[in-house]
Amino acid sequence: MENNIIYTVKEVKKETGNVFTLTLSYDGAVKPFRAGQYITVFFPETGHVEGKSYSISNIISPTSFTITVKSIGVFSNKLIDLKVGDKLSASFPYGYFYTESDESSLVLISGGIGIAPFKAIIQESLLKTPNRKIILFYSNKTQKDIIFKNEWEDIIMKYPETFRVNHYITQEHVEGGIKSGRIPVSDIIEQSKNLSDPEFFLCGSITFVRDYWRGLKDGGIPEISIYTEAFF
Amino acid sequence: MNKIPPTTCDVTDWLYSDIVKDHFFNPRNLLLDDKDYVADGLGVAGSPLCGDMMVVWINVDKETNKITECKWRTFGCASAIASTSMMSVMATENGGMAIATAKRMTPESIIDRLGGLPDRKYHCSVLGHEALRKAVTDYEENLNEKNGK
Repeated sequence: MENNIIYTVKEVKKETGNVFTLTLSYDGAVKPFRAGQYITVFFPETGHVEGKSYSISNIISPTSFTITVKSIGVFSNKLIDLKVGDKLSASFPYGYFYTESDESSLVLISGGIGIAPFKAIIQESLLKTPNRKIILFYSNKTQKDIIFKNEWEDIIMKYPETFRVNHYITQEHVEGGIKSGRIPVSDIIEQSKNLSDPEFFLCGSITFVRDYWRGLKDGGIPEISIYTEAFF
Repeated sequence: MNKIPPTTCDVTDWLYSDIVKDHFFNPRNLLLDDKDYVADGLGVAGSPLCGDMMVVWINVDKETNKITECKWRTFGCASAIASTSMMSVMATENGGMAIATAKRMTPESIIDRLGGLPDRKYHCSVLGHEALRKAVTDYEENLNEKNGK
């Protein structure tokens, strides 16, 4: 278990119907962390003594960041019910869902709330390695479920040469640049074939990550180029 | 005839593959007593409070930068034991895994080699993978310290 610290809730913002972003900060010694990492939150009174993990969705400062939470049960409801000024016991950020290369292109494949770490990874990359190519494949059930929709449009406007997003909607008919159905692995491979040194990041449910990990591997992508983070 | 409704234990998702059972009953590379064991890197993941705890020790060939030994011990369930046993085999087979490759080992690759795991046991494979990743980080930090970096 990582060392626990006490965070203060600075803001709670609604993103979509049941998805909220919490801004957290802490006082004390700065320990470096980076996009792609997560914290483990503890609410022992819920019976989950092991806590539950939430990815950083934006880094604000060396002692402040956001997590983006989907309300799906007692634990997550407790989290999104927190008010500004409330305290929260959680670990320091940890985990290894990030590239160690400054040169590689990033191919990010996400389902639903699995977008959370990618928001931070994209922002960190645009800031630190602005020439790096990034392609995001993002799958949701309906258009209303697309998290950070306006932010994606803003980034495309600002970085048209660097950043590209592909939206896929699985449970309603859509038109106008958004595709219907699941993300075809062939789309991912086709769009990444001309990228320099592409690295593939998968984040979503266990099934989502497993299916795309298999699909990419079967499509000839080397395992060493695939990073995974499954939410469970 | 009245059909008896299925219970959770009847669901095929709960079944373990023969490979999982083999690694649970015959774990590879287990280290029960680490008193005199010298390792290049040590990784600890989980917590006994949470029900699962994992310790991984690695030794590395400094010339090839490949893992020569991957030992482990866990306070965990059958899936955690089988997952970490398989992880240790993957890290050391065929002359040893390169450190760069070990950093990219995923829970999915361990589960694939095990012939699958029930989704609710996914976190067990994450623990072994996380402990290995921490052992690699520890090895790299020890090496940098030794080299004065």
